Amino acid sequence: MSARLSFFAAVLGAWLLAIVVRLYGLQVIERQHYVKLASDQQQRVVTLAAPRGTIRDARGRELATSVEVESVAVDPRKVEDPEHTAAVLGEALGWSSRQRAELVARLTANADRHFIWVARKIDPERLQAVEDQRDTLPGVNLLPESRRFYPLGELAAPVLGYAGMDNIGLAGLELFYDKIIAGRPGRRVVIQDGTTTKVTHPGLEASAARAGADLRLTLDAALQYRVERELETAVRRSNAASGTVVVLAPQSGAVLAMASYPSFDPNRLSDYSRSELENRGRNRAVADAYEPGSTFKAITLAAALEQGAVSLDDEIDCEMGALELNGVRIRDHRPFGILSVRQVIARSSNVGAMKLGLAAGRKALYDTIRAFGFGRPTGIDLPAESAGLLRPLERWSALTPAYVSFGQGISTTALQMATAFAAIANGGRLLQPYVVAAIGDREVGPEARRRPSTPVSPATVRQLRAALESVVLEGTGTPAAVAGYRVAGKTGTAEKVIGGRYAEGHYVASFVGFVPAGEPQLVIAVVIDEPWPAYHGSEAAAPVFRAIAQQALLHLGIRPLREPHRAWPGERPPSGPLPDDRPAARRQVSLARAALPAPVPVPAGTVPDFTGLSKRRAVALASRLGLRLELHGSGFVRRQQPSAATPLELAGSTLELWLTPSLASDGEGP
Amino acid sequence: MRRFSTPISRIAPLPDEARPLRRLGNLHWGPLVAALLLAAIGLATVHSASSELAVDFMPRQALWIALGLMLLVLAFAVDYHVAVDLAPIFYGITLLLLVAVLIVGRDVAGHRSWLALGPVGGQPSELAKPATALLLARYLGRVQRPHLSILQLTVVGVLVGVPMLLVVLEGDLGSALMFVPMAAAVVLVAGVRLRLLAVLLLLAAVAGAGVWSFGLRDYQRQRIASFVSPESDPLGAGYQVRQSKIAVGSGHWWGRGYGQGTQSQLRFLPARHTDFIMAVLAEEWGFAGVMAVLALYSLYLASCVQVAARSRDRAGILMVTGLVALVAFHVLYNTAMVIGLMPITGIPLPFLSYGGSFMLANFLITGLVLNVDYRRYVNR
Repeated sequence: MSARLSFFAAVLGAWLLAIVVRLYGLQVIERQHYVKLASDQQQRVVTLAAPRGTIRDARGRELATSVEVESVAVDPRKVEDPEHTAAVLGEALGWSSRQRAELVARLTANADRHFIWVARKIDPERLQAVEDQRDTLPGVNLLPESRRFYPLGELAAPVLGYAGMDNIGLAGLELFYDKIIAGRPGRRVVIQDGTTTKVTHPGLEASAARAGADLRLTLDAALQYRVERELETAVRRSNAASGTVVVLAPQSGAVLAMASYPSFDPNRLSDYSRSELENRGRNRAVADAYEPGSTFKAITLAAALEQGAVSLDDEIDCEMGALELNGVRIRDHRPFGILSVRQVIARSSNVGAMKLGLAAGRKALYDTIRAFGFGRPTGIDLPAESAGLLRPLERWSALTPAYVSFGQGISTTALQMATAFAAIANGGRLLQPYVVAAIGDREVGPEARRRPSTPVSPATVRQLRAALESVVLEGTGTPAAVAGYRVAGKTGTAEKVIGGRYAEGHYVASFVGFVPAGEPQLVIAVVIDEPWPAYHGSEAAAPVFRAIAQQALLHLGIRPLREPHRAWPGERPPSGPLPDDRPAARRQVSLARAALPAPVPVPAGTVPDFTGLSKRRAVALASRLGLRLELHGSGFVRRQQPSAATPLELAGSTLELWLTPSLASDGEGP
Repeated sequence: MRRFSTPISRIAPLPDEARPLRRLGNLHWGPLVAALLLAAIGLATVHSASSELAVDFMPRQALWIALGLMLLVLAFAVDYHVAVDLAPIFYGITLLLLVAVLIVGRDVAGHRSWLALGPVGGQPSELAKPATALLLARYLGRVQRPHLSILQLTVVGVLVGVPMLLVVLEGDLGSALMFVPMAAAVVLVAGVRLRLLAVLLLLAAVAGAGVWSFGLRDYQRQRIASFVSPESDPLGAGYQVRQSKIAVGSGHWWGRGYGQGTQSQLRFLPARHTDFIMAVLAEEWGFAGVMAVLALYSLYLASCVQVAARSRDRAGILMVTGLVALVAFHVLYNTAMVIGLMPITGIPLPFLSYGGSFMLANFLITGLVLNVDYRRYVNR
């Protein structure tokens, strides 16, 4: 019997020995392995998102900011019933049955995972619906995330660009300054609990998230808004495909406004298809190169003047509209005979410009073009900038200088044109244009940019300005004239190259100019793509320049000329009433002027100030605006209802005017 | 082989037996000291293991230990032959309780083994095991032949099978399994032909296959499957093995320190104050701590085996064998389970795991063992 007991004890002893051996293996030999497993499951590295910097306009208005939103995530291991979960969540999120089925499939396929996203950055009303159901849905979690929000919607959208779901900049400034705006995410090691995923203990090692820097732009949202409205109106009115406008400050290179149309709302990115976003999201001012056409004649003239080959008053035979060169006929839009150099620019003769280019010489022409920044990016702080196309000199054919002289066989961006004209406007300094004025507290104005180069001498610049001013005074650019200000600029109408040849009926109309011509404060480049039927730069682009210039001058508080000046040929009454718009009345009221209410300039899109206008002009202006008139009396307008600056949408369709025979006999005056 | 006889008539106590405490020199201190030290270690470990729980289980555990000691004194004071004589009554009572559990019991942790009687509750299965051991001792203690007959083995099978089946029906497979080594040990020591033993093992294997196919619930099958490859199912049953091994493995020589075991303090370890208390101990006290505890168990078990060996009658030997087998297999199975050598099933660690009925049962066993040893000279 004791033998059996011994056997029994031996069995126990053997078992015990096995346990001791295994314990030694676990606790001593394999210890490192298990310690690592322990820390792997007990410690977790948590990334702390850094708040993305805010983008503000020149006056501190928020253009892009980050807001806290919630995302729905699921821990599939804790989901008890995928079908039920998908049904309830789908209901709360307003999903289709197909989306719900997809979620069921994902929950099943990832059943062993800790975490899958269900819906990122959901709307507040959806959030409420999910929260209401959350207690009944094990494994469903709401996580706070930050979402980019653009308070002004479409405003300057192609410039700002957008950030994606993971708050990484994907386009525009959001992309270009991504590293600066994004900040640096923090890292924290936390102790994790075995029963929940909640963090229950303070961290071990940690590095705080560093917030992204804010950007302050050179753009002015108010000006940008007006520019965008004018561009939109112009593109629609001229049946164009698209358009872009750049407004530069010529002394600094700061971009005051930069608009593309059609554009997009960065708050509704998911509403656009990929190709639609490709089209609408593009910043055309920097990304789209086009053949500049006649606007480029300014550069040709600069080359000729700089070479001392011509002066403004030299006469050029424009061959009555056509010249044969190397067997190719080069035509003008209308035949010209003998023109002065100034007139060649003002009336935009291709033959004349070609002769200017040839007079300058191939090399000088090429060098001047290069010196004005063509054929390379301007270096603006925006992504996806096109360099345009300027063939290197050694690949120039015999005809290349002739064509380039009037802006064919070369392509530029609207920004390149604006930058080149800014150099003419500011006395000969080619600047690096820029959009960001300050990063955080650090100013990054013109001093922080590339040092300006001097493409041409000041003497050449003076003559260029005079030639460009005569374009607006007496040439193709008269529709760009702004009453009360001297304007210089150049029109351009280029046939588009489609499939390797010039396509009739497809034009790019443009106008590039600056104002006031004497002391330029604004450079504005307007490019309208495929306007029809009024496709000339003078018809489709120059009026846009004028409308924008008027409002920009007002907005910036740049005062009109004090001295009366001669009426320009082809001057038309601008929509914004200014003293000069009423020559007849002005003479009569000049003495009583101080007592009259100061003529208030009104923004576009509102009822203009009709007071002081003759009956005929008032009728013309009203019909242009589509307003029905109710007239009382005759002579000059004394009173109007609704009053000036009332938004057109609010004004109704009928405008009442009270007229008196003459302002001088107005009893209300002293 | 010595011959034993069961007393036919009660013997009047000798004068020196009237006051047993006077003869405490004859008491075998081994099991008692080991049990008390283990219970003390258990108290401390339960305290540490329940620090992240809603209640600290240590005071209740202390209460159970105190009650257990009283039961020990009771079991020690009355001659164990009385207990053996009364075995059928104990057995009958526990069977009734097991049936009652099936009818009015409460579901705790996946199985219905908890019987509540007013404020007091317990698991009758823990008491059914020693009661069955007592009954086997009584039945086989009267057998005079060197090898048990098939009929006798069948009777043993029925006596063990009925309570075991009831416990299986409760869903407490682990508890039920502990009947098997206990009965095996008793039968082995009582004497059995090897050929018969082989046939029995074969039958057990067939029965096991039948149970696997028809008798087990899904979670039970899953537990056994996950034991084979725990990594395949990190959050199912394999989760417990994995977490337990991580806890034990990160203990090293001296452990992370009392109350410093991250696996238990961070609630990774399941059932850490009950079935997995050894893992907590291993993590906080290391290899050295586990060795110390195993040494105490060895002292306890060796002392008990010694008691069996020097017991004066066959009933005493078989009773001690059955009881010590219960404790031994609980210890060995639990420890093996915690370090991943055995599938997870609800088997607690004697004297250390929190649990009232089980604590009482173990002190009762200890009292009976001491009783057998104390009275080994009587009547001779």
